[in-house]
Amino acid sequence: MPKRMNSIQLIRNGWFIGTIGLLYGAAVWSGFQWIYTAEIVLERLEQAVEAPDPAAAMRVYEQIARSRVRRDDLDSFVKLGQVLERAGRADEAIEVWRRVAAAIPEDEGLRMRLALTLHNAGRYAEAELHFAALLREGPE
Amino acid sequence: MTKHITQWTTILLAIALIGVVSAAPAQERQSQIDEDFLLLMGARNAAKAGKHDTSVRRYRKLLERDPRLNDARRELGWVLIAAGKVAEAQEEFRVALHANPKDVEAWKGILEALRKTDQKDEFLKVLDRLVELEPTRKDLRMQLALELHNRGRFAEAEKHIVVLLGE
Repeated sequence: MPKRMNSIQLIRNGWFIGTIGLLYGAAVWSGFQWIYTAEIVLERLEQAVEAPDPAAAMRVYEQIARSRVRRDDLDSFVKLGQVLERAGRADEAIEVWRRVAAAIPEDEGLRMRLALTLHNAGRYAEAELHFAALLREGPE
Repeated sequence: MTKHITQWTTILLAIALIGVVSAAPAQERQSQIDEDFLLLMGARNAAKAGKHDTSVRRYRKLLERDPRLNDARRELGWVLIAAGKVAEAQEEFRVALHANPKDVEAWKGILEALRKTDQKDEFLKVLDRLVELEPTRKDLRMQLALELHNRGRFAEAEKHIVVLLGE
């Protein structure tokens, strides 16, 4: 007759611990995938060689743009701005660059991106404000 | 038993260390921008926004920093024409031509400046030079043929018309 294990023995059993560990790992991984779905899709869109699908770019934009821009975590927003530009969604890209540039006003590179995106979208008067600021020109 | 505890402690510490490293705050970003590129794009944008004086000022500043930028010099020439400063524009195109006598775009700028100032003889010479530089451009050859025809220089016009008709 097979010997039955009590709970202490079960916990000490290596297979049991291994299975629990694997299940825990799978749960953590699934949770990570679920929480960072938008970031994962964004990463794929950014790395794609061809121009990103505008609809997919917009879905990611709607998910990510809801969150607050933080100084120490700008990567998602910078990638989002680039993806939107490549997908031809200039207005949304401008909105992203505007928020990012407002979060770190001393970063001239971000302001330059905003100015260039406005320029490329034909919004020259708006771009002019940023070019003047970057060139440290006084009011005319 | 003690050996097992030590092993598990090591594994847990390693996992914690990886977590701490990956969660460390991203480095503060501070990108540098190329001043020449900024001036060039600023000048182009100001021209598009209709602020010709601002555009000219930026182009001049850029060319002070690097006088070899012939593309920028030609763009400056066109902005000067748009601002009604044709003589200054002509001067910029001539400087560009000095650097590269076969610069077709600079010749076109001079042609436009001459057309604006109604310098007919000089205009014809430049047009002739442009046709020489770009023999396949039918529009330029047609323009030259018409100019010659309108001045009664029919024999010269005829040569170009023959080329245009492929006779």
